Amino acid sequence: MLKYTLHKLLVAALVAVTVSFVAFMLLRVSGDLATALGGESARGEDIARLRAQLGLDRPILSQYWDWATRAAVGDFGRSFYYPEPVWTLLKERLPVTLTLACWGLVISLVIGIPLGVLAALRPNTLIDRVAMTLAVLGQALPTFWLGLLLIILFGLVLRWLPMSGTDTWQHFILPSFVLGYYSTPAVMRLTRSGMLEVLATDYIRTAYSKGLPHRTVLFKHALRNAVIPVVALASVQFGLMLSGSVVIETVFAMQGIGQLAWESISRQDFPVVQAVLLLVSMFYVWLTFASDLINAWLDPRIRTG
Amino acid sequence: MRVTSHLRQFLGLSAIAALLALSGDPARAGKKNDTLLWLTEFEPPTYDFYAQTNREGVVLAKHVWDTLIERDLTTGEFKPHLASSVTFINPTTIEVKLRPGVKFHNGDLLTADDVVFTFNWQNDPQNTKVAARSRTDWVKNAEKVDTFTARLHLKEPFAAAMAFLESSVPIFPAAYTKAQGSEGMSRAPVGTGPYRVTEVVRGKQIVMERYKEYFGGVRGQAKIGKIVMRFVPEHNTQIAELMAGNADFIWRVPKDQAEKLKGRRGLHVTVGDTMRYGYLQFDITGRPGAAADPVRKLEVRQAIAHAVNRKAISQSLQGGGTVLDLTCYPSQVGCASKGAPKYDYNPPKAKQLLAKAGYPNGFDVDFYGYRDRQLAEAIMGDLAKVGIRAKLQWLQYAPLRDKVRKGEIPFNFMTWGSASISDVANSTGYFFMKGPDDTTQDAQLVELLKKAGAEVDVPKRLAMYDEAHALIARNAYWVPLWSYVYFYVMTDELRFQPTPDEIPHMYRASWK
Repeated sequence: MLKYTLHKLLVAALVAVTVSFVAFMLLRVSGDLATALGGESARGEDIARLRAQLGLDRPILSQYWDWATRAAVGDFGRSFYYPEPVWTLLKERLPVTLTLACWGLVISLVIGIPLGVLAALRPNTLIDRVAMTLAVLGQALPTFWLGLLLIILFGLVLRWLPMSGTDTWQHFILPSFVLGYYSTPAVMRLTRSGMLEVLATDYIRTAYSKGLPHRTVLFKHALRNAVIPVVALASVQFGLMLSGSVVIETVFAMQGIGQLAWESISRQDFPVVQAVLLLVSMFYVWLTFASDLINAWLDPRIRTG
Repeated sequence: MRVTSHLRQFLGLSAIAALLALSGDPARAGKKNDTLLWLTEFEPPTYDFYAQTNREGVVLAKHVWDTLIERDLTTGEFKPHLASSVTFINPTTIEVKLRPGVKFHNGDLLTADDVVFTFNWQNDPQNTKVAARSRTDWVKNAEKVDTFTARLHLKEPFAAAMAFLESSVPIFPAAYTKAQGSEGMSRAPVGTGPYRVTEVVRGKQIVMERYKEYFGGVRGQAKIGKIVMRFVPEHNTQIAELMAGNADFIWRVPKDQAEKLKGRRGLHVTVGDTMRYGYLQFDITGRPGAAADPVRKLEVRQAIAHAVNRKAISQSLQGGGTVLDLTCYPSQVGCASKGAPKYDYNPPKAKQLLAKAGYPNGFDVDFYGYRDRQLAEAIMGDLAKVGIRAKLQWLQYAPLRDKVRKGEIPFNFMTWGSASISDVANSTGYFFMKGPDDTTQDAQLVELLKKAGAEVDVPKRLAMYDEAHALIARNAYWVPLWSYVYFYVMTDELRFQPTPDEIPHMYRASWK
């Protein structure tokens, strides 16, 4: 298990370095940063001053090395736009995104698992198709459009919920639903296939033959086994929620890291973009790493294979 | 999750259509509470005016701080504001006499120390927070003469000084700024302006209340008691909030959406010109990197000027805008010329000119742009009608500007906002002065503009700019296109008049 863990840690570190290196290079080849930051009214001398001040006149590899060594100890530098260290901005914004992602995940599980169970119980029937359609619709609708429609319905027409901001828990309902609904199909399909597989096994037949009630067999015996892969998927979905919050946070005017990333890309505030990319990819890496470990712990064939 | 911008626009519009169909009349609270709720896209990175260049930051500065002189928005005249007089005592010295009895929001009395500090602090190389040094670096240093008199010593004669004093140099309280620094000023801004900041919630909103001890000056007393500027990045969400009565004012609304809101009960839509204008720029310098392109021939440039139907494009795609003949915005000081030829929309004449230049069948050319693709495509459509086959090259602003500066681009579509400075020194006087953005490098023009920039005698200066504009137009160095417009949507209880400086002056607004 130790060897397996070390191997996975090494892979995680390599992913972090690769993501940060590729992101750093891509961001810097997209144009002269000093010109972009100086904006339209910056004169030639303003741009030259900015270039020297930000160290953009040095070789790109040297810039990357400096950034990477500081980032390794949690120093992501200062934002080009905000007069604050990047880490301060991330700390301010992260709680909103994490809250949104948590609620999004809960909603995705709450919708996806029952739909998957329902579809598995009546495979290839109208119920199965309706459940699948409902789930797939979530992925097919552009999130910003669904968000706007919900704003119109619940904020404007019914006046039940606030439309934008993060002041109260009610502000999180609509964006969490949009985010959660988007990732429902994956949960639903995995639950459905897991349930179909489990329901066809001998131990379920045995449980029925023992005279156990349908509900007990379904929830206590079948579902508990069928959702194990869903738990692993949920960790990946959580990473998806973090990156997927970019559009939703913008539509609902939520000051999370998604909106920060969107703003920073448009302003070419690269230290922030770089840090957000690294942070989100690290979430992915650690969540995948955690799910690998859980799977390995649950199934010895994985860690010895 | 990602959709193209066209699909996004289409879906946004369909959401607005649904919104209009489903919503009832909004119940507004703004007037009742004497509180104007203003939604805008971006939060400034800091509320210290000098440490940022964001448009919202510039707008807020007009409400929180004052400048020594102010432009009368009705007559366009510069008038003393914080100052009782501002005079050139010689070409490189400006004497400022302050209006006595003006108090900052924290109770400090405005004195010459504040004026001296503002200039010297912004020009101090140790002050690394300054975002645009060009706002103040035309002043070498400032000195105190007595409690209410200061002198500004300029690096060289600078005729646009009044325009800069009006738009770019709000006076900061010396003692407070020294004690609090840029960060403290951002957390709790203090000025002399018609509104004092009562709350800053980073990431959410800034709240300002009418300053009861405001001295008035040219701006006059604010009429609305409280302004809340809230940051909502998505236009569609802003519109929904406005429709629900949760907001009173939104601006920079896309044309399609604003038009859908026209005639809606409870709302008022207005369109206003801005100082930003579009132009076609040619590189005719022949410097290394600049290709030997058809646009280097005068007749070709004149043909392009005659080929583009500026009025039709601006009206149909922008919903307004002023068609321009000169390389500046009409209300800028010095933006006039009696001798400049005008290029009307005349495709047959354009074809004749092309034939004369040796291109009877037109030619192929790369055409670069960075914003307003629809407008760029409409220009290309008009060019195609006279045989100029333009191939669109779309870039981000920064790489495009780099390429222009390196002389790698023969023909491009750009825009310029003059940093809201109402003097041609920051438009014509910037682009044709042999700087990196000068793609003509005309020595006669450079000399003329240099003299005009240093001439403090106003009639002489205006005559020089007149001549410079005529020279530019005769050579068709640029094809000035149109001014840009903003759409503003607001509750019909609000009385608001837009101005071309891209600043909604809310101290002039009132409830009906």
